[in-house]
Amino acid sequence: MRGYVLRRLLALIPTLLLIYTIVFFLMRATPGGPWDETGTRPVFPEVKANLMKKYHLTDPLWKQYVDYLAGALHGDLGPSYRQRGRTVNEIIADFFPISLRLGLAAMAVAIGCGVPLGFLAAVRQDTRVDRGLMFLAVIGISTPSFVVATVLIVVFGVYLRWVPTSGWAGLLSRQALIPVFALALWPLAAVARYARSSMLDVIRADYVRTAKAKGLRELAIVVRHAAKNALIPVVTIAGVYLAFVVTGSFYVESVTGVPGLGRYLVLSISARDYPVIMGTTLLLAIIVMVVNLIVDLSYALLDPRIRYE
Amino acid sequence: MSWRSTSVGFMVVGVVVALVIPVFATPRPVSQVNLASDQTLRMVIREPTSMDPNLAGDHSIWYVDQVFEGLYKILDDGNVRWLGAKSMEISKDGLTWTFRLNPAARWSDGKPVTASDYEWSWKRAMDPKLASDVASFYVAIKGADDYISGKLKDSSQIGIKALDAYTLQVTMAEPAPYFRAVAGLTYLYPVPRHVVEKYGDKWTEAGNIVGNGVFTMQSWKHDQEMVLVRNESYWGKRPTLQKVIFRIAPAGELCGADFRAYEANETDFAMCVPTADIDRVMHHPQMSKELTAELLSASQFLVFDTGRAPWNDARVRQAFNLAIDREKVVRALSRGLFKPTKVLVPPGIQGYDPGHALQMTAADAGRLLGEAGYAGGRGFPDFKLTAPDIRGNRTLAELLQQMWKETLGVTAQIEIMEPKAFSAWRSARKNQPFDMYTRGGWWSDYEDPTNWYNIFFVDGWLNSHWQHEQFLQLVKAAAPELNKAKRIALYDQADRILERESPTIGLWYFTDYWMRKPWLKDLQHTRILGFFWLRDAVILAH
Repeated sequence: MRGYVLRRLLALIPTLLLIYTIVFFLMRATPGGPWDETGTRPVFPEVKANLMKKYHLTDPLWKQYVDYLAGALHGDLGPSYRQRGRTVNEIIADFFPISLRLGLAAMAVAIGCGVPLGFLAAVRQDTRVDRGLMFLAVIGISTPSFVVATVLIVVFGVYLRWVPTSGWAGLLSRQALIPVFALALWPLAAVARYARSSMLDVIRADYVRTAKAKGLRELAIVVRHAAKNALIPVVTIAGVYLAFVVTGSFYVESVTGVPGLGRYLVLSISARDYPVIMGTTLLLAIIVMVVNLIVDLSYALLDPRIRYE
Repeated sequence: MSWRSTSVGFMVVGVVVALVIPVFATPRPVSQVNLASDQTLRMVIREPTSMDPNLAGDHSIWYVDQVFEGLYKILDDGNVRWLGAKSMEISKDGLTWTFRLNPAARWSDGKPVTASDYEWSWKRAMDPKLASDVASFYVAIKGADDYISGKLKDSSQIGIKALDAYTLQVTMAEPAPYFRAVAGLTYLYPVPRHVVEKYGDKWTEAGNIVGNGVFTMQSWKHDQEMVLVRNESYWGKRPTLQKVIFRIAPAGELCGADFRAYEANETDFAMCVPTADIDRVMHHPQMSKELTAELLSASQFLVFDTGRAPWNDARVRQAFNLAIDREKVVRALSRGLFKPTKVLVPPGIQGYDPGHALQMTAADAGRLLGEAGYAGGRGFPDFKLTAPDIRGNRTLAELLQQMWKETLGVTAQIEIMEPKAFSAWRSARKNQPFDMYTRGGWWSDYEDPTNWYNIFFVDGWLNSHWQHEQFLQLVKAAAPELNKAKRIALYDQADRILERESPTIGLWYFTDYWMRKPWLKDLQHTRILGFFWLRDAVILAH
């Protein structure tokens, strides 16, 4: 097990290097640079030259490639071009924890509600309960999160005035309700559908039939015997969504005014803020890979037949 | 400039009062007005990219303007409101400008604001090591361009000298009357040397920052909230507002967030209404009274490549100009809140005269095109209209395409580009051909004709390849002209030529769509870059 984890962690290195290389060259191949005006006043050539020099963009490309990499290995992700006086490390330290907390809360809601609802639909297969829940799940999957967020803001913020229309005051505040729910809805619906179909497979298995024949109560069968096996596909899908959600959703964060990292990545791309693009992309890559590893390891916990050597 | 292409307004310049008096109350004289006990103004803003006046060149200047002040401010009436300075003298040759500073002015930590603060700050803004893009505003000063480009190392050679504690002398490279419009801008506000040197890059954070304006920064949680409080040690008349709470919304969603917060009564003032909501606001019994469209010194226009056929024929450009129905365009893009214009430059810029517009109608457009050899559009080459993907440009391009098709019988291709890619493309047009483009418009940075005619055509920033000898001579002669009447006459003559020749086609003037709650009074708008003048604002009891 320990050897397996170590091997997986070592595999991160070439993957990250590849991502670094691709992102580095893609950024520079994209037309328009950080100081090409976007609708603003002309930047005088001398001033632009000073900026290029200050941020080492006049160095040969190979040197920029090596220098940034060397900095990143020492934990220095460079300065932001757009936010003068701020570094990428500070930006990540400020905004990643917010995206992470928001994402974890949303996933907790998604799993906490999605799994029981999916199981309920399965044991009530082809009843009104099942059809009603699956109808809602289809709506949940097919409605983009920014639409959900906007509708919630207009209804609960503007008309009912139960929650503020935007902003962030921590996870345990009224401001957090809309972003958490908007972010949770999609994974919730997806988790519910997976939970339903995998539970349907499991409750047709022989050991469940045996339990039924022994006269055990339905709830006991589902919770004690079927649930564990039915969770394996759910964990896989939840892992994928977790990686999505904790790295921050640009749309939900933008619409609800949450200062998270997802929003920053997209803004930095349109501003050609190279160090911020690179720093956040690398961070997101690490998170996705670590979450995948955790998902793989959790299989072993759920199913004793799975062993990692 | 136009980093605010999403925010817009109307033309009631300076007339604010009538629209903010509560609808249900009868107007009362100011002396009897009941002020609210809580003088807190709440509004939504975008995260400043810098609160350092020497660095802030984008929307950040609006917030810098609350915490700092410069030598003076020119409001929309054109008069100078003295702040950090008491007076200004310009030598007869126009080269030496002497500012007498206000000895009462203080930094918010109590230290006096001196001439050497200005000298140090201005030289810092030009320092190649700081690499600030606001350095461009200093180029009129002797030695500035060499210092910026690094050719001049010795900063004492720059024409900025503190003669004594309260006298600042500035020497120009050549007469530059436009400097009057520049000297009061945020880019030339002083910074506190003792604080900058103590905290370095972090001097603008809450707790460190020291300003000289009517407000001081109490807190700044990046991307969340900034709180300003009244500067109780301010030398002059202190504002009635005690506190300003800026809620910071993300750039991409600023307009929506701003407007929704306003509608939910979480804020007192909104600087934007999403296009999709304008109709609803205009038909709403209460909100329609709170909306004003404040005219900006900014216009949207088309640019031709006049260096090549068929655009080198003025008749073709005129035909394209006359075929545009501006009222229709403005209705489609702003529900009529932008102000249509047939000329390029906005009111307030010397040379502006709506009478200079082509005195012909759409009916003449086809005739002109025929005279140029393309009757009914026959034989007209394929051409492309290029624009950045900024809100409204796609609709604009499609409308123009349709109007030209109907009136002239020609078909434009449309190319919409990602904004940064467009900038790179546009810069490369310096020596390369194109047909026509439109960008996000142009915002006056300062109210002087050089900011339009000279930058556009003498410096060639538009890349329109327009080389009209007489026009260029006129504007080159006008820029350094010290006699005001003569200068106006020169620009007037130049503008006449410009509009007749139509190398550019003016479409509309931008406006800021402002929404003010009935209890917010005396909040002034400036047409230069849409500053909000919080000093005079008050909150009525409500």
